[in-house]
Amino acid sequence: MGIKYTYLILPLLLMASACTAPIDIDTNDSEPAIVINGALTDEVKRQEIRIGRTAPYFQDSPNIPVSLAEVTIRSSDGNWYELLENDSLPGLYQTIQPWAVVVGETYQLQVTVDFDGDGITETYQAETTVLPPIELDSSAIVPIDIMGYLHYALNFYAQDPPGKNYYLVKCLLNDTLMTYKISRYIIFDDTGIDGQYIDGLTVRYFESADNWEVSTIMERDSLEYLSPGDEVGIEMSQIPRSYYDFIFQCQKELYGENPIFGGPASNIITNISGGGVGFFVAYCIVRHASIVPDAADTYSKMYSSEGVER
Amino acid sequence: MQIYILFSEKSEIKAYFYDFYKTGRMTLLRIYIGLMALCLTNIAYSQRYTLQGHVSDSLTNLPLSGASILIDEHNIKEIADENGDFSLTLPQGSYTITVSYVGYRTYVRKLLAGSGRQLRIRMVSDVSLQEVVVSAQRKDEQLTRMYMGVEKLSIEEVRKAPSLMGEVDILKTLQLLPGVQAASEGGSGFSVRGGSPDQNLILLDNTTVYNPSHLMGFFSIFNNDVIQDLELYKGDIPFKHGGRLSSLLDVHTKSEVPAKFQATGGIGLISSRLMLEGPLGSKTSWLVGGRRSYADLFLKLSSNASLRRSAVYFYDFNAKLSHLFSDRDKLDFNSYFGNDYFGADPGEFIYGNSAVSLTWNHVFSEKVFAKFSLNYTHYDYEVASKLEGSKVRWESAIKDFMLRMDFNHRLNDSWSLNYGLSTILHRFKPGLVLVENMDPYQVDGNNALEHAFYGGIEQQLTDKFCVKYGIRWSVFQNIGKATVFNYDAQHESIDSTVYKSGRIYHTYQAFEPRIGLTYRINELSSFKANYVRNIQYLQLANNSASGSPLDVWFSAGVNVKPQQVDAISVGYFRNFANHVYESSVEVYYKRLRNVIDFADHANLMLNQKMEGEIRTGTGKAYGMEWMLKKNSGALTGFVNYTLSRSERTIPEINDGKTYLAPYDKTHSINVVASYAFSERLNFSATWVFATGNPTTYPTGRFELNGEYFPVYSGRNEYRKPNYDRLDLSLSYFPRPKPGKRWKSEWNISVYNAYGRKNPWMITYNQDDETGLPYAEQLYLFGIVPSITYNFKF
Repeated sequence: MGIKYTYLILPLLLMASACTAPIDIDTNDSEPAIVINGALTDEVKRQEIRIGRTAPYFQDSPNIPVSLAEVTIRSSDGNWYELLENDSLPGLYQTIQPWAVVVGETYQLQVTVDFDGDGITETYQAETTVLPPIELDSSAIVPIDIMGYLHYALNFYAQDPPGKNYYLVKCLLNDTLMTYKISRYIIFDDTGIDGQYIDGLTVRYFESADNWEVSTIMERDSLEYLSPGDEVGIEMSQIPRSYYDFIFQCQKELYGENPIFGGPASNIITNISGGGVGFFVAYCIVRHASIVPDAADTYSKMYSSEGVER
Repeated sequence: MQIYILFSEKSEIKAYFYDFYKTGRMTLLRIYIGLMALCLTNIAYSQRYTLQGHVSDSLTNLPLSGASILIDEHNIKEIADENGDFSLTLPQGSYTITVSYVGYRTYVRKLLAGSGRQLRIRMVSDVSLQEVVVSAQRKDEQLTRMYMGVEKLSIEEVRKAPSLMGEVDILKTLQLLPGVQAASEGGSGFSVRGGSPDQNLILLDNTTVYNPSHLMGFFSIFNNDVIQDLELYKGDIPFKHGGRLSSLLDVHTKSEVPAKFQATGGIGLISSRLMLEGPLGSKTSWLVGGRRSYADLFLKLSSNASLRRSAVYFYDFNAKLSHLFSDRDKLDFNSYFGNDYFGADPGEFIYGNSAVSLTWNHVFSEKVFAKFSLNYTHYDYEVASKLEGSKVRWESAIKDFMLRMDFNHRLNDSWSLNYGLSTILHRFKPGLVLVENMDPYQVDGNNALEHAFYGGIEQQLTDKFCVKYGIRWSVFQNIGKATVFNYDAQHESIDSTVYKSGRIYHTYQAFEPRIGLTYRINELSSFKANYVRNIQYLQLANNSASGSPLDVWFSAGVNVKPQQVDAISVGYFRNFANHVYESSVEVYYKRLRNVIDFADHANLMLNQKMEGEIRTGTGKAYGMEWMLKKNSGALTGFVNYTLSRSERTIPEINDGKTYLAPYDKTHSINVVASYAFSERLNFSATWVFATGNPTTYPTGRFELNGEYFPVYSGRNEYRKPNYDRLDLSLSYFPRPKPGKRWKSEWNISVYNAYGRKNPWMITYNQDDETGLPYAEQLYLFGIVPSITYNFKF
């Protein structure tokens, strides 16, 4: 239920009339570590793993990928998959054949590479188990008045199974993923809704395209604007708690420490063994899409008596 | 059992006593009654005569705490207490009483003892010293006071210091004292000798205040019109108080009202204040005071209907009633209510404190004085989303009921005995979330009893040598109904135990010895040393740097051991130039046990299994504090320097390596100066310097889908940039019109006069073009000017 409170707390933070200024931070650079990332899904495709290395935080060039690694995935049903490095995209390793992960199976990733260049190879491992897909019935775009302006809420309808469950939500606008970056991933757990039917829980709010004119440049950069007829897709997955924590921590640490609502800066917890960073996970995806309703219809429903005030 | 009958409507109080009856735990009640009986028998007939008196300013009627009273014939000395009251025991006869106080004409009067009435002494301010600050202290108080590490501030001193946005704030001025640090820029949270803000016990007229802040911490709840003075005990806490490791902040509201009705008020940029006070007959006095911020009133002018419905404000209200039943009995009622409100169409956030107390002061005999009080404090907040389709309400509260009895037994001129007891019933409601169309989610509440029994002796061994020693026995009991989770070695919950309502299911007890000595080297200098042990049973579930109003307090219990500190300190105190200058140097060393920190990425909000996030270890803090203060003359103020260190060692944090506590500051310098150009014009300046707070910086990064995530250094391995700031203020007092009671003051303040950008928060962003990360500091205040108008009639 974490998502809701964030909406309430953010405006409070903005109240302080604060200013920003650049600051130079001088730190010692930490030893490079291997970065391994991969999310396998139950959709038939060439599954991918990315491998790179960490860099000093304020280095003025991008991080470097790691090539020439031997990458394999072993499934608990006895299957074994080899991943080969992409010819044009160094550090991207893909399975030779398209395949999909299976619910209940455990997958073990093994990466062998001479990371530190001393002529001896190191081995890094990670393991993940695929949880059942969420029982998603549907989703809906619901018009909503926030501070006198038209907004849209993206609601979903699903059955939460008994026991602790963690969910990942991604949104698509006209088939384009809006939540490509981890900072935009929507995650929540079933605290307070355990085992219940989730009857229209809001996972995200959108601006109406009508508000574009009155938006600040910052808002235009960071918010999504919807027009009637747009198709908003939702991709939902049940994920393991460790991956939920990983996303949560990535989102928390991305911008640094929040003095009011955050704790001390702490390293993001990985499931890669051997001193690596990053995360290896496999999950199922369930999709649904809905259309942004017609404006006239919306306004008549929302403001049956008083009309919109600007 | 008057108290019980009186409050029988209050179900909580009833339940409290009911718990005792049901569980057969009558012991405490018996002790209360027993002590009452003991004192009643003490009212023995005596040939001796008790002289009680009250010392106040002839014009303002403000009590002169610390005034010195001398009976020439018997060389009996006494000091007026915080309320300006004193009491002396004399054989019948006639005497000469001499009362002196810095800045006032000495009062001398012949007395015939035996009449039994109260002596009211109105001191006349010395004309030649009128422009001088009258510090509410005895001249040599810092040399003779039995306690160490005590800082006293009168409201006059606080008012002189420049203020942020014109809001005179005792907690901001407090942060200028040696060994005291602001927990964050502009905030009212403070750290004492390297401790966390939740290690400070804050009392308003002896009632605990759990969150002393307004507007997300930027202003304190203390209305400067209503406050008389404050005392901060940096570790060496008086026997009668306890329950916190670092300090006691004892704030007193005005204890004396003027002879005639009087109004005091002010109009500022943030809030306006009004206080009314006066007598009601000859034995009763009253005071009411309030403040409200009004920035949100401008929102009403908006053309946007939603904005018109928005509100951001705080208010607070103090009310006092005092009645003298007889020479021996006085009843005081003190209350505070305050709230903060942030609301708009999508949601609202409300938080506030209530603190109420009823105190009966009774003189049993010439030797025994007692105070009985019943206190209630409450802190709660509510966050609500009002959005259609996702209505949520989140509530949290902590409530205390306290009963206490304090006795002061003056055995003879050189022996004084303090003893008493207190019981607190704590009720915690950590969190309840109500989601529309869904079952409520609740973090189970729990209850606890915290008792303390104390006894202490202050003894004048020789002319030069004073000692105080005593012990406090604290008992902490968790009471059902409660669900307690059991954790394995990895802090994962394995199962839980449910305890029935009213059952005491866990008890901690501890002895807290406190010893101190004062050696008066000569007229102008003294040496002091002490050792104290303090135990803390309640703490905040908060690991943020600034603290937030979303406070949840949690108690010691099955899974959480009480925190403990053993502290020693020594000090040398030297006054110069007939006590015009005071100087001191104090050294302290503290050793902490069961010190609490939280796991990396701990979830402290609405977490049933919050205790699984706790990590405990040891800590230590040490430092040296220098202070030089000038008390009188056109120029007054102080300069202090603190050199200190505070660190923690917790096996599961920072790989078990020792790390700096979040409030560690190596160097800290404060300069506070006030210059009176004339009776009408006063100029003040404050300059603050402190080493930057310890912080954890990213030393590496990894990339994921175009975003860079940090790889951090060890915990608190780096420091933020040093902090410094200059504040200025100018006060102008227009000449009052002849024959009019109206007096006024204009105050112009500039906060952060040279516009230093002190980082409050350091954030990381990615460059729009290169996509590479860079650091940015967020600073809260540029140059902040303000103007305030204050009045009195």
